[in-house]
Amino acid sequence: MRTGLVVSIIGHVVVLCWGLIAFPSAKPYSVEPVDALPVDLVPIEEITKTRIGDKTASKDNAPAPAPAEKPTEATEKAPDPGKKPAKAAKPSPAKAEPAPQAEPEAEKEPAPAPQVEPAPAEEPAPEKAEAKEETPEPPKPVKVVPQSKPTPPKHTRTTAAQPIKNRQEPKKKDTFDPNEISNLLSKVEPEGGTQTAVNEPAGLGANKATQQQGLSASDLDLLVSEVKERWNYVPDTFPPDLVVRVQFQLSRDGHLIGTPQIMNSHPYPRFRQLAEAAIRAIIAVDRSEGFSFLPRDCYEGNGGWNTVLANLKPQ
Amino acid sequence: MISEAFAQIEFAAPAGDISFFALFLGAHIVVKIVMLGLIFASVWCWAIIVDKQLLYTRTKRQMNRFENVFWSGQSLEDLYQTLVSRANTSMAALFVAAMREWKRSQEGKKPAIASLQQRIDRVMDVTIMREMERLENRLLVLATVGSAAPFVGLFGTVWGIMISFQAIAASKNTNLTVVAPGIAEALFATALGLVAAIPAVIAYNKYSADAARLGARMEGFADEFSAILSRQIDERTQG
Repeated sequence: MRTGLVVSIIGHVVVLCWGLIAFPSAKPYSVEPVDALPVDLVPIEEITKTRIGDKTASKDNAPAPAPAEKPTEATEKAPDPGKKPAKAAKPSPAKAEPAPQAEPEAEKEPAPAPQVEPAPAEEPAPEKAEAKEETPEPPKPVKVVPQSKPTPPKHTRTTAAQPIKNRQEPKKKDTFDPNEISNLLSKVEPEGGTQTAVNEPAGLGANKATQQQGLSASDLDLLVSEVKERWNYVPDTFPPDLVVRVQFQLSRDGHLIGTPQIMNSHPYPRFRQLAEAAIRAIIAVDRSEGFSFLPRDCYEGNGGWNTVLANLKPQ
Repeated sequence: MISEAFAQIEFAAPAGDISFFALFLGAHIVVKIVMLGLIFASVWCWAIIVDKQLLYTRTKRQMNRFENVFWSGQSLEDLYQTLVSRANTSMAALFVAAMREWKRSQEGKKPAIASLQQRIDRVMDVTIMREMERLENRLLVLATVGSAAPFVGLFGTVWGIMISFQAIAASKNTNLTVVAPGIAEALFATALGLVAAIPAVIAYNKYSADAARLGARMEGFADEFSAILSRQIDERTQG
């Protein structure tokens, strides 16, 4: 028995020593490094919210920065905050040319509209709408623009309509100030986005701002890119401030209601053709896929896409 | 103590490798006890295995040699004289026991021959039993280890996994690199249980069969020798 025990102990010790040396050689699995995908979590309302916040802040000291920003404006999000302040700050020069009569009304309206009940808002709207219907689209753009914007409210809800009006004012100003126009180029803005700008002059902006819900940046980009894909025009060296502003209304299932309308004009000789091409592009989108890719729950409300105002810039 | 243990782990398993030593040191105390018990069982089993292997080989060799001598025609008396002075095992022990009984019965003034045959048979039965007991001694340990060691190892594993799950819950991290070492340590107990049990089971089956074969061989010899003695007895009583 003793030999057996000795042999056994020796054997075990040998095995353990072997395990000590040989066992650790477990090779790690070869794991190929995976490239990290950058993921940004962006709340849908991000853009409108940032605009709101910036507007109120920059209102005081805005004018100076505005011109400087133009060149960088290619990207939408970052520049936004800067632009608006600029618009808000320079209302007076812009107004002078386009439609002196219309503007004072427009400015007054926005203030009551957002906060007050829908009823008061509607009243001004129909009037303007009528006016617009009567007027032919392109030839008289200057006067029409300010008043015509209210028209959408008929079809859409009053809340949606008002933002549109509000919007136009700043843009009107833009159209006349080439520098500022370039900031807005090739953007589609739901009404909600600019609405706050109007509110600010009235001093009411902050309250409305929190309620706004708009399309996300990606949705806006998608919409613009869909339209631009089908926008056929003869290439040319376009003036830098050339922009075609189209307003159109959408049904809840993402289809066009009525005909898109051109909301601005430009001395550029072939502006008319460009604008009509843009309208055709929008109709083409409607016929192919429609706009149903826009999120359903953003359809109504201040930032909803029941009425879309798109700034298209030819490239 | 803790720092020492860590130092040893570092020494045994640089760069976080898993060695036997690191696995053992990292385990919970209960698992450690289980592991130590299983290692001891394994050592003991192998000691028995080696011992039995030597014993059976030797026994078989002795039987062969004795049978050669026994059937060589040599005088049983001479053979008995040669063997009686040694410590005998297996067949030689049988032969010596039977011859001793025979001799004793012949000695004295009144030879007790009437039931000599029965006495010789009984003596040889007793000797066979004793020899078998010697051959099969400790084989039951192998059987026990073979059947119980896996369960003991499993117990260690279950315990270790319980502990490591508690540790995972406490650390609130389910990353596999955090989870893996604890489970590896726990599984090491089952591995040891199997390492102890598998040879034990195999050896038990082999050696119990060997013992039975040796026993049968001894019984065959006993019957043959009993027949020879019976013939002698009958001749003497008639003569």
